[in-house]
Amino acid sequence: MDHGSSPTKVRKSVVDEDFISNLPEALKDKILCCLPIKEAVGTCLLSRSWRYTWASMTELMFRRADFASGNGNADDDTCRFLKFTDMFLFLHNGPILKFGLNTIENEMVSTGGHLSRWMLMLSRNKIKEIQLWTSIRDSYKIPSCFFSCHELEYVYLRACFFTSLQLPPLSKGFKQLRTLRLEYVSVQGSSLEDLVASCPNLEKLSICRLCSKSNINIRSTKLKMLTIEGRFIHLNLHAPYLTSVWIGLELKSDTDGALTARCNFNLSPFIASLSDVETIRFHGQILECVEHEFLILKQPRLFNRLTEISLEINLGNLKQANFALSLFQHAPNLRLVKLKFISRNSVVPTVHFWESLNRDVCLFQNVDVVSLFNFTGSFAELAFLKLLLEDAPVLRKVRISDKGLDKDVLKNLLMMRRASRDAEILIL
Amino acid sequence: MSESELSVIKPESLKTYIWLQCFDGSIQQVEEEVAMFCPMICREIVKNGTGSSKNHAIALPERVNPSSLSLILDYCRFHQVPGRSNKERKSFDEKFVRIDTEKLCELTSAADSLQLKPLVDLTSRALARIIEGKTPEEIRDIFHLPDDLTEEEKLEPLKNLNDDPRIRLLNRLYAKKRKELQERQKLKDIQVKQEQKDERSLDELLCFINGDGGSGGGKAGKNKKKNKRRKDPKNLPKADPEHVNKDEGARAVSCNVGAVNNISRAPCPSSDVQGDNEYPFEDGDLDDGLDPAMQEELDREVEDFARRLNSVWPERMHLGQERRIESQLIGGNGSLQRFSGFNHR
Repeated sequence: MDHGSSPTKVRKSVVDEDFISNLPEALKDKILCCLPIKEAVGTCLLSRSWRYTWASMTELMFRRADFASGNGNADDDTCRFLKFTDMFLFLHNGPILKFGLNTIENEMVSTGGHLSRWMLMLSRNKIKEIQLWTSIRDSYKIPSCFFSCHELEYVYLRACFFTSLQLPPLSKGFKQLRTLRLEYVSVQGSSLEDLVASCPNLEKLSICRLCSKSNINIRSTKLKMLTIEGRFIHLNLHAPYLTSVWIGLELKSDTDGALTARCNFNLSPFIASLSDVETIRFHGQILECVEHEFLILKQPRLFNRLTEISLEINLGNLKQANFALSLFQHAPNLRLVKLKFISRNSVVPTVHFWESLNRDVCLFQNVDVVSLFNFTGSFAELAFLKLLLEDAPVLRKVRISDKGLDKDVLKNLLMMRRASRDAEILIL
Repeated sequence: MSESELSVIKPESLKTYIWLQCFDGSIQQVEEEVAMFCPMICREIVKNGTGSSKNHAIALPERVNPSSLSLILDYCRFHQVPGRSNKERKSFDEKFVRIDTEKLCELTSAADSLQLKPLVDLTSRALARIIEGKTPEEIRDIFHLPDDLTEEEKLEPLKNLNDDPRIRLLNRLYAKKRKELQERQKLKDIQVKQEQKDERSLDELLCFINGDGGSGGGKAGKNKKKNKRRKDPKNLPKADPEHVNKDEGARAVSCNVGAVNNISRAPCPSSDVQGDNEYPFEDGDLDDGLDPAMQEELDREVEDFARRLNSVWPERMHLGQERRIESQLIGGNGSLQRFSGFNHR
């Protein structure tokens, strides 16, 4: 008699006043998914109809930072976090479409077993999106049950490694996977190739901080955006519909900054494979791999679609300057140019490359925005800028971010003749 | 209402209007581009060709009531203009959801049935923000949710699932409440027993009046009541019905024994009550034949029994001792006592 409120009173209020419990299940799910996960679970105390609504949430996000109790005992908090997530997944009932984990700031005390069992749970639950923002100190091997999540569409993994032959031979692969993002990964052998080959519909591949000791071969028929940044030997690319490519190559260097490893990247065939791209970004030390006689000059095909170029380049280096020039020459529709200058304290004599160019042909026909980073006002850089300003007819903005320019240099800069009346120089 | 408004604002425009009909029958017209922003309406126009005239108005789903519809149309009217900056859109959205919670729920429901995904996202997030950071009572208050979980369901502690300090506090409060409930229950039990106690004293008086020549039944009754009385102070904290049952069983036997041995003692029970709380009845007679060694042995056996729970009492002859042992075990396992009780039968 004392337990609970009187039934008659309850019934009346349900019919007349409760307006949130009558929303369709999908909407209640959506609302719960917008709440932090602990609060979402807390809704089970609200009323009878909400008792197990949390257990059918489809999008889960577990943040280790939410479990910081502030009493300085991080291990304790980690244990509570693991326990909570385990219990939640155990009591959860229904499909899980999105799973997010954020433990990026805290190391987990466990040895990674938690990821395997959670991944196993997800593979049974028609998971579509996985985002594991794990700390780089918790590097783990991709559990094999990952390869049974056949409905995956979006994957973001961090601080993990693939070993060769990890993909089960009869695995169906990831037929729905559209976006694959990996960060701080290390791959062995052909594991990356195999992975990409098992994703026939992959459209966006992004690998940052890659660590690989061999060549990378990527064959993908639907790939549109490719980002590879890290350490590797060479990239063989076969992706006919690629629209955007961003390659950043890091080479090992010793303490002086001089390169100890020779760059083995074959840039010319690589460039040749990028005929339809719209965006090219070459960062890192990739341009150090340019050969003297740049083969692209023999390539009659133009990069008609190329509208954006971003390079990390040392304009004073003859080889690199040549490369840049040929790129500009073969990209008639280029609109956006971003250059990040590298200057090496080398004893190479100043090169009058840019000044001695033939001015008959317009190089920068359609260029309208140019951004220059780390502008030091060196000879070559100024020469290039002069060329640019005198050449580009539709130039609108030139953004220069410098590291402290000399006043005279600035004066010279601003006084350079401009072909385009609207050209604006912004010094940031 | 909107018809006249629209005709005032744009009198000479050549805009096409779409007719929409709510579930309650009211019909509105709205500019085509505004209406087309809603996927569901768009589909109706394109596929079924409805909406072009008043007679063929598009029938909107049930969940769209007129007030929600006007809000939705305001939203569409703002967002379908392509030239707005993201900042403008964001600030409009923020102001848009600052409405009464009930209306917000209706709006969410209506937007969902019209499949207007951006508005559904916006309103769901707004509802989540309302729920976030509030206690269950506050949330129930806002949404008029019934508080229909039984006390027991609330008391099922959310063991480690939710480490929110508020939930811990809540659990503690509920634990306190639970204790209170138990105590209340105990008090009730005590009251019941006390009532019985009163009755007993009456019967005793009757027995006394009737004299010691009373039937075994009378004596038995006396003994029974004596036992019960003696045991009760000990049993109060437990309030276990099992105890009562067991006691009956034991007493039934002991009464027979008592009836045999204790005729002489019958008239003055009261003097014996105060002492010897451990003893169910005057066992003076039964104790006489025992020597300490035997007693110790039996004590050891009790411990054995307590450990194994299934051993058979070898010493059935010394029922008195067993009675004592039993009473010592009263503080322990209720089932133990019951078992020993049945044995004696």
